[in-house]
Amino acid sequence: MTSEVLYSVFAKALGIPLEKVNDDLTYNTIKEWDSTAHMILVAEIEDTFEVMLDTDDIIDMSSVGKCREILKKYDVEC
Amino acid sequence: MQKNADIFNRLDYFLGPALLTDKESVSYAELEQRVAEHALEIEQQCINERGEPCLAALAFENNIESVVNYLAALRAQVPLLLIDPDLNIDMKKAMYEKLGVSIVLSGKAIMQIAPWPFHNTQKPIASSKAKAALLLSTSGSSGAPKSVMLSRDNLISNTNSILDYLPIEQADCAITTLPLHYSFGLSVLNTHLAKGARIVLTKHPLMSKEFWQLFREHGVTSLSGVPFHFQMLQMLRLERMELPQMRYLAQAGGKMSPDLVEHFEGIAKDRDWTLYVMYGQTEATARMAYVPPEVLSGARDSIGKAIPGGRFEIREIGTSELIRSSDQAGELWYFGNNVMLGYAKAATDWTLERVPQQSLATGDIAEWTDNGLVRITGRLSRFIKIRGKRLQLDHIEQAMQSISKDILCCGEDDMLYVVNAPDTETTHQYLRESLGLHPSLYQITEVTELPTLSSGKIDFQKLLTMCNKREGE
Repeated sequence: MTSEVLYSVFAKALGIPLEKVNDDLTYNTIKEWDSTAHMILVAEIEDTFEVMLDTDDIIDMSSVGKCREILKKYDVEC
Repeated sequence: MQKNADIFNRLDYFLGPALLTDKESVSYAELEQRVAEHALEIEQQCINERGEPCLAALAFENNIESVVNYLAALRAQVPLLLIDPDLNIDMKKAMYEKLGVSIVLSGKAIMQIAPWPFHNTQKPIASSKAKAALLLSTSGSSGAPKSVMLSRDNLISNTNSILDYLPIEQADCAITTLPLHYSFGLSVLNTHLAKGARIVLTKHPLMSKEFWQLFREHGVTSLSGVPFHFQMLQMLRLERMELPQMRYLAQAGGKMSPDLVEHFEGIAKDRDWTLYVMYGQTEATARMAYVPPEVLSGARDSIGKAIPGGRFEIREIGTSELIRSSDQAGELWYFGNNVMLGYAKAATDWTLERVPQQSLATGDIAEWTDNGLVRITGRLSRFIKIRGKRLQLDHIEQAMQSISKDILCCGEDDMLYVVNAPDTETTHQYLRESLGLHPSLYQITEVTELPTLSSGKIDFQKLLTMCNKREGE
């Protein structure tokens, strides 16, 4: 897996162009990343990477970089 | 009816903390002091020598200063418009102008933004008449320029009714899952203050680490939310969380699917919590009905019965004849002391004294169930709810006229269909930015042959069926 896959999951779930996604993008700092988008994002990540995230990881997923870190715990390198 | 504290008069009936944040804790005694002081300042600046108040506005944030402002304005008997802090500045300004807001309350500041429009002399209030104490918006960011006017009696009455069926105790602690400018969120604040309980104020969303840290730190005892919050709680797998103080879950703000009700009913049973499914509207201050938990399993698709002090009627559409049998749907009417004074569209509305209406045509279509509960089957009014917030469809159609004259809107809760709109960036931009809709919450669709009623008007019911069918394909 590459960054591209992770970035495109974010772009799709948040409904923003791919160019706007980077590791520093943070929950609740842009209008598009609200609770609705966050929920869709979690579902999309679970689907794409075939993982089932723990509650603590779901609420900890506060940025794109953080998400990448969390996915490592599930043996997903991206 | 049990005696609950009149929080608009006095707050220091109780010892211990009232409001909690991640930085601060404010006791009831301290809150009383801050409210009393600020009420005096508001009184000085917002009431003229003839005793006439102006209209103040407050962007109600989930913080202590906002709660002090809210309680102080009510104490000073200065009518207060509560608005969404996220509302954009142009919409705020338009609303202030339309309703004749003269003062904005923000933090400790009392700012005059316009001269007072006191053209009509007011007579002393006759005992049968009431004045607007609070103006609440019924819709979210679509900014339909209509506010619900509530009296102090409306607020007290609804608070007492809710406390008659929700088991709120002084030892309880709530947390702001909902914004406080929203009637449901405000009812959580009012009921907890009236019992001397604690409320955690936070801007952190349900799906954040900070929220759950505060939740555990303060031993929160209940969660209140709209169906969307329960979808999030399902995703967070609430059943696996360790929440030893938790006692009950309360849902309102739109119809939750029977599946989701069942899901949380199961969790509640396992964990020895109680699930309250409730129904309300801002027009009725907040709450009109609840499902008694002991009958919920057989009534997952109903809104239950009227709250203590309230009453329902179902009337035939067109003739207004009372429907008593369970096989016929009609419009749901509600009666009670929590029914609003009316809508405010201009300054002349809130300055008038009004005879309380006591009756409300809810705009919902309902039927009686076999055991005398109420089941909602549809909606007469042209609005849908997105994540618990109302969107007026006519208003959106009008606003989108500049994009195309052919645009029609229909939909159901959490799905807006925009019919015959050009699939262009302008359209998406309006929906995403002006209405704040996530792309999963709307669909642009084309319908060449529009269904009509015999009157020639668009048959929106049929149009919705067509859109739904298309989406399913």
